[in-house]
Amino acid sequence: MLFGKIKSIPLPQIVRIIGEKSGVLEIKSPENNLYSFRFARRLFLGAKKQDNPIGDTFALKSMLLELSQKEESFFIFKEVELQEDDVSFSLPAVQLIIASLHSLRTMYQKNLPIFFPDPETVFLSTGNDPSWIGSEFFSFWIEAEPFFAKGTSAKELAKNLPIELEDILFHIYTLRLLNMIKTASKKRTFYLPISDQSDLNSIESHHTNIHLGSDSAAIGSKPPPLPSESSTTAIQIYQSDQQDIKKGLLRRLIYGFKNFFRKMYE
Amino acid sequence: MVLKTSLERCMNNHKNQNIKIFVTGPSGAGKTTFIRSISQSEVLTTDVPCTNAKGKKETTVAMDYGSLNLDRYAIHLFGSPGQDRFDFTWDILRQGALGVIMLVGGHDPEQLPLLKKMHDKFLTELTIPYILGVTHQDLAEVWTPAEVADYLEIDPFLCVGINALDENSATDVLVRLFEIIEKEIEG
Amino acid sequence: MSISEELNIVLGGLRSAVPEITAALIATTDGLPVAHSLSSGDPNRLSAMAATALGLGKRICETYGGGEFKENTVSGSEGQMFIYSAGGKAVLGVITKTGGNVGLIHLEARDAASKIATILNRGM
Ligand SMILES: Nc1nc2c(ncn2[C@@H]2O[C@H](COP(=O)(O)OP(=O)(O)O)[C@@H](O)[C@H]2O)c(=O)[nH]1
Ligand SMILES: [Mg+2]
Repeated sequence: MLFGKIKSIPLPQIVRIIGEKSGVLEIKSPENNLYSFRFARRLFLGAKKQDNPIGDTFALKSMLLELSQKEESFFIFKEVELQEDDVSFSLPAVQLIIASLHSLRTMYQKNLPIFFPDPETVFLSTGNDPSWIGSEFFSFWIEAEPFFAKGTSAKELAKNLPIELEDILFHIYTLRLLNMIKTASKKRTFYLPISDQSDLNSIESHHTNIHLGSDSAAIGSKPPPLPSESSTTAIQIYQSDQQDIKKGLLRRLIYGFKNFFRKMYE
Repeated sequence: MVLKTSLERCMNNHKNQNIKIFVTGPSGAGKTTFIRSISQSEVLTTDVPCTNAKGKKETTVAMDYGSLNLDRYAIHLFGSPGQDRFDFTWDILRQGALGVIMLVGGHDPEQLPLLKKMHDKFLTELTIPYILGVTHQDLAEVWTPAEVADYLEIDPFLCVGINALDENSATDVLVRLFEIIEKEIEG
Repeated sequence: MSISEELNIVLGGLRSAVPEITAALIATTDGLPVAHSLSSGDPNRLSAMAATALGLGKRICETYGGGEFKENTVSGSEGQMFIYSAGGKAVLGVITKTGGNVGLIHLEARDAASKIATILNRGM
């Protein structure tokens, strides 16, 4: 069941999750106004505020603006097949996503919204056609596209473009919803499990030291005590012998464990 | 039984017998509950008094450890606290893990933004296989695993719905994790 | 009279002033269709693209120091589309057959664009 507060899942994102489903999205504002949106197979068919149908683009835009300011509103999506004779719009849902994203900008005047991406997460261009994303998003896209082509984060963009970080985060959120960029995921690989019981013990005691033992770890602001170099190197990574391994098994062995610790405590 | 089979296939008779799995997710996701439900050993949970930015003592941070034995394999489950500033804990715990279990409470969509941040971070920084468990499926009003998969824009195969209070249901997450690993190994 | 009706009157007036104009559309700068008289092509898609083209045109203008953006022209072997900024909130797209009187088209279309801008500023 799709439900929640638009504070954590804003309208454009809800529409994106609705995707191909048909049904009615109901949003109830704190003062008990009921807004509803009807969808069928990626088309936005129409909207209502209370019982009044929204007649045109401008009424729709002002309703979106109104909603974006009522962060505490609660939404629920009810999946039903809709009769398509009740249609005042027949817009691709993605265009409703774009319009509601524009309204959303009013929402982040004070704090960075919780739904913005982490400034350090790296995004890559998907190579999709940008010709329909509209004037403003396109302007950002032109500037940022060379960076997205090789993979970039909001933090890096803020260093390279004359745009504030929070605007960049908004645009990344936007471009992601519009399928122009995606997280640059690494290929999954496999850490072999720890090779014997003694190694496991060393890891456990290691954790115990760091996280359960001293007060400094509990406070959380200070970094935990550094493990000694010897405890680091005591952790063995199972070195696989290619011949031992059956065809295709664990072919991408990671041995970065030691390196990781070394780097971390240098 | 299913768990054993999927584990055996995942490990493919590997001589290594200790398997370390890392459990993470926003606070309230059901991490402690999950580890308690599937552990055979006594679960070590430590609540640590924690000081917030204003110097007030209020929240508690829990670290969980539990384990189970399946024939010759020992599965060790390490739970992380969900708080952002424990990124550091993450970094250590997830090293050397065969897989990561991310949990989120399907009943509480306010956990989703943090889950998404964790997931993005995980995806871009790490290469360990993972599974997403959507807890509280025993309740009437919950996000289904498919809906959470849509929200995260990931393959629904990576998302399993569970009731973390129930051992059998919780085990589904492990089974799926092993299936994913097996699938990826076979390429 | 509703805003949509007023805008349709402007579009109608434009078409009767310049018979070479085969179709016209008004879209918001975020690409929502407002009014159109297209007989072929997808008005939703074209509205979105006109809004994007406006953004691109503005950027090009800024980048080469061309001053205030006036319009984009997209010319094909069979037809032309002119894209004008209509105030801060909207875009006007005008489609003609190739070989029309471009001077007259611009004159009338710019006039229509400023009428559209006035209507929208009043209405929103
Ligand atoms: N009904 C139900 N309750 C659950 C489930 N998982 C966790 N809980 C409850 O949710 C609360 C938070 O769970 P906990 O394991 O402490 O979450 P953690 O913060 O991730 O460790 C506890 O009261 C659990 O009993 C579930 O799948 N179903
Ligand atoms: Mg816990």
